[in-house]
Amino acid sequence: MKTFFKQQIFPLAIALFLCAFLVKIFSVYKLFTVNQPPLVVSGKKASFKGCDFNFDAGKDAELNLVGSLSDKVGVTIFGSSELSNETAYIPYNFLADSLGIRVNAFGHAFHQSYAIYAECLAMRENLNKAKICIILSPSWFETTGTNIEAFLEFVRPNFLRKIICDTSISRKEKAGIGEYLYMNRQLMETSNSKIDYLVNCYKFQNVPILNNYIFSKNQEFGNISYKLIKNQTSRKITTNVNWNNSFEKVQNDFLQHATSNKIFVADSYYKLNFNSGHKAGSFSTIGTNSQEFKDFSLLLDLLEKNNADVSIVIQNLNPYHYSHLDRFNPTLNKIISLLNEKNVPFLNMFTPNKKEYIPGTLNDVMHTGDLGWLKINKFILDTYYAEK
Amino acid sequence: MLKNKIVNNILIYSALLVGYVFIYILNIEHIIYGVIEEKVRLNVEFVYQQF
Repeated sequence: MKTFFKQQIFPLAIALFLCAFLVKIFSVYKLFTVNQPPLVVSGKKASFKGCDFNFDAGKDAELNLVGSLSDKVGVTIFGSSELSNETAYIPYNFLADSLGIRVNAFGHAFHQSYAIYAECLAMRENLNKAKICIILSPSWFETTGTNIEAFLEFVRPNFLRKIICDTSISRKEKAGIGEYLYMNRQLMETSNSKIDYLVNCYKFQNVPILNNYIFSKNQEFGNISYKLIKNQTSRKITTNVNWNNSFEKVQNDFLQHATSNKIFVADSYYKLNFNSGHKAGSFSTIGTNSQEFKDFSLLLDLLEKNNADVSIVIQNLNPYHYSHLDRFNPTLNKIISLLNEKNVPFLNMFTPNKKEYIPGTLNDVMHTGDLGWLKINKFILDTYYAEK
Repeated sequence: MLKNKIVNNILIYSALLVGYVFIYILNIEHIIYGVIEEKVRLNVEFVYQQF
């Protein structure tokens, strides 16, 4: 035992000490560091209204998000597939065209809580007092959380760089992003330096000396900042809308185009998807502490901590198509408790009950229809622009 | 004899640890070749149609 200690443990301890010493020297004198120059992403102005389905457009889409969060009068909407179905009543059209409110929306299918969290983390300095409306879909909670493909599509390299370089973002938050990337690493064929960095932040967050060295290497990435020469803001806002008349009109319009079926979906959708007969869907059994719920809770914490003016819309699923929608109720109750606890205004459109479901709220089995959009528009107007 | 063994082991362990730290953790390729960013490719393709 004594010989083993002398021959193995003692040399290992010395080697660890030498290695730590070497890392410390590298850390203090910044040896072999490759510093990238700071990057300024600049543009003339962001858009007044519209939807960026992801951030593949690069600089322009990123500036739209920066501009939208910086302008405290207009609204930023984060959502998923419902945003792709562009109609005159979708908030970024209706509120902008009819009421003069600047609205920018971001998202497409699979844009879920964790991707939104990472985007907001990157935009942390712009969150204060930003009007943010998040449109939740019950389907999100059937998944195991944001998938890596959607994450990388929305959390672009510049956002990762921003998260790495922003010194006001805590080590725990950086390590959290690293943990997500690490857990999904087997799904990535290739990586890049930013992903490697964040993964190391997670893996070595509790290793003394090495963690300090790794976190201090964020300087190498070069800070990134966004500069808008002129931002868009809302025009003269009017809040005079006869909602009841509008609700009735769009519902009648919808019913005229939903005559071929008894599940209250648009004829064109029914023909495309159920031409050979309707096959009902079933809502999955989900736990009340799903990954998506944890991610949503994390997102709300971030927005609350940074004083964002956040509101939530909980969408419906079509109870004439889906069975077992009551399986969502326990999660829904947890979401509502969380929102009440944090004093976040919300609009709950979900009902598992056919009798309570208002046809036209959804256009198909899960995507918001014109009536649903009008209700969301009213909610946004009442939440942010009601005369006090 | 024992002294030599200890010194050898110190050298071996140090080499292994330093190698691990510099190649794996500090990504020495990044230091040698600078920053070469490429689009991250995935092993999987997610099905978007269901939403």
